[in-house]
Amino acid sequence: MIGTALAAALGSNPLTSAMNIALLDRQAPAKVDQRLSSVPENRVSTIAPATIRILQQAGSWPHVQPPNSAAFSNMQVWDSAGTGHVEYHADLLGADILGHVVENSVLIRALTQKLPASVTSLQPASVEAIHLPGFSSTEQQGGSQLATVSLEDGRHIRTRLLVAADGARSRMRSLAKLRTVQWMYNQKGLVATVRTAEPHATAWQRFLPTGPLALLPVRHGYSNIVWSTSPAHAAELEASSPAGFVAAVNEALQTAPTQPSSGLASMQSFLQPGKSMTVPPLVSELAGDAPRSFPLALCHAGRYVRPRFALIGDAAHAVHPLAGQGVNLGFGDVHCLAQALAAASESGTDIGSLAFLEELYERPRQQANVTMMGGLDMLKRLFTPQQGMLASFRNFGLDAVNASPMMKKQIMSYAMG
Amino acid sequence: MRAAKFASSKLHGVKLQRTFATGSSPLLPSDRSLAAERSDGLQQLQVESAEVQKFSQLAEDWWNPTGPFRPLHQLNPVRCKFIRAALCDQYRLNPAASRPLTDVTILDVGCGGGLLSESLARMGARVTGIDLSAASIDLARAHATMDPQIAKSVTYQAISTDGLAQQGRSFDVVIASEVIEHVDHPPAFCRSLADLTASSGTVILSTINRTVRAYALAIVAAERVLGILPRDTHDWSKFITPGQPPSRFRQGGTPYASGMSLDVASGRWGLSEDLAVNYIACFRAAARHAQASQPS
Repeated sequence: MIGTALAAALGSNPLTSAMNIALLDRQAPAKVDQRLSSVPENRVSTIAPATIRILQQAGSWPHVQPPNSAAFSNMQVWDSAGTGHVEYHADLLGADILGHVVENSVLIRALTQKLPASVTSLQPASVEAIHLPGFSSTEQQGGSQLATVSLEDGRHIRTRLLVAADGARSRMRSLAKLRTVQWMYNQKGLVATVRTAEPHATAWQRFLPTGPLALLPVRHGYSNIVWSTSPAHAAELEASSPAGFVAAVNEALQTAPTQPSSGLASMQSFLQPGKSMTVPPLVSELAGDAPRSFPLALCHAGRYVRPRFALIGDAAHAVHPLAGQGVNLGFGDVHCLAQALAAASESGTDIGSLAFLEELYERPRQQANVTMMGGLDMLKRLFTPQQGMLASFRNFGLDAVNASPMMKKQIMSYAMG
Repeated sequence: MRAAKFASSKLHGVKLQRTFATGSSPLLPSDRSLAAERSDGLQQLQVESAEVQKFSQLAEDWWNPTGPFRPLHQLNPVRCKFIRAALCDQYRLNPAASRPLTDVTILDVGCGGGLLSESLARMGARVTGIDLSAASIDLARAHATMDPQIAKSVTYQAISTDGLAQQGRSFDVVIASEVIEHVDHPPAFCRSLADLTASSGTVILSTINRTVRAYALAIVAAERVLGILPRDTHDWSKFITPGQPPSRFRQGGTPYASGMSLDVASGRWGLSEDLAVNYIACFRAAARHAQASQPS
């Protein structure tokens, strides 16, 4: 998806639209004319306004906007351990919406539709080996050799810049010998499509002892569940009957807080007189494909670039899905790299040169991504232990955030890019 | 640095200011001793071939972005941006196109390892790079072969401007970037540039040298001697007074002369309004008949 987004972004700028681009994927390409499935697919992305702007620039937005996706204008984050909660409303920022929830397949189709004619699709294709010029200046002096990609079918592609957008467990990244820092959260993310008793336009997120559970509106009145939980619990949920799954979700979202009479309760009522959180709608049925889960990990590449090579999206940085920021960070990479390549075109710069990639892509993106990743990881860790003082403080913290429009506004502006 | 490349152009009577020490770049902004040496302007080198040799010894570092030519690597995108904008405006080319200079012939005088030549080729131009250092030309040729698109649009020759003019060659655009401040006889040098420029063609000069004297000589030479006229101005003298930076010369929003400044903190060069010291300028060569009537 992120690689296709880069090709679409390059195609929308006359400075870069004539570039010869080859898109490689292990899988066959998305069928552009395929109609939407009647029930939404369960792999979705929460796209922030900054990402929407990028899709608009690439000309893909008309294929993503409702009814192909659902907007949400409210967000409520609350805690299972107490009554602390934060509500975000778009109007606090003077915006109409906070974001959209869109199926990944819809995004891929929309981006594929806008690919420039200069794009060659090599899908499916399997990469056997890559050859990149080294980091050392002596090798660069001799000439920055072009990168070579060798496919299993015997074909070779020579390129000025090889961009890896092959996800968190990027094979290109390991072939390029770029190292990562990573740790597993000992959690799995479980996704499912459900129906709710009433339609809604709120992104609900509750922090449970085992991890956060999100209920997000998707198109045509359906909702999506993203439930981060222990591997054992995820397996249990996957094995349960549809009715059992629905009951588990409702229990998780609807049960009363475990510490209703926390010592901080009086402080909370002082901060938010008369304000209580909204109860999310009941989930009425499981729809579409069976729920499935995947392991969660944080992963960050120490370098995003080397001569004639760049990592984008999850290949550079995989984050916890709790704030739905992963795809937005990826689109941020796309935007930055597309602009850098346009600047290179304007100044006749070699798009594979290390100094160029470092200055105009790696440096700005690492800063942005590290900030967001650090924040997400801290949030994740803050919400993991569930008893005692920390839970109380966290509970209090959520209310303090909720009571302070300034603070909320800052958090929201940041998340919205 | 590039002075070395004209060292053997005896027809010009070119003499050189000593502008670099072995192993370091004259462009390094932090190198005060070099700047001081340059500003006295007294040390002139007679043993010209030795200078070419010194330069050739550095040649293999041309494409090392952190080596002695680092300042040129940093400057390159900025001068390219100016050249692109100025030529697009002058020849009514589409500045938003990816290769707007397609089929424009350009001579890069003092091309060194080909930093500027390759960038111009990427914009579509057919580029000839010349340099007096055979080692630099060898390196430039080797580097160009790494990219097939560059290889087919750039030609390098170890030859002087005079040598090339004697072959009867002429180009739409002649560029002497970071060269003229090293030339002790700018009028003769400018004349050779004009000889190589097609009728109504363009000459582009740039310098990040700190000596205003060399700059003044070059500009006066360009205007008074050669009939190469800056667009929309008739008074270059105001251009050359430090402390009185003139406004940009604009036509349709495109600067025809621009200052270049180094942000020391970021190490990035940018275009600026201040033309007093570091500048890049675009001149339109007068038509041949007009040029003939200029005094020399």
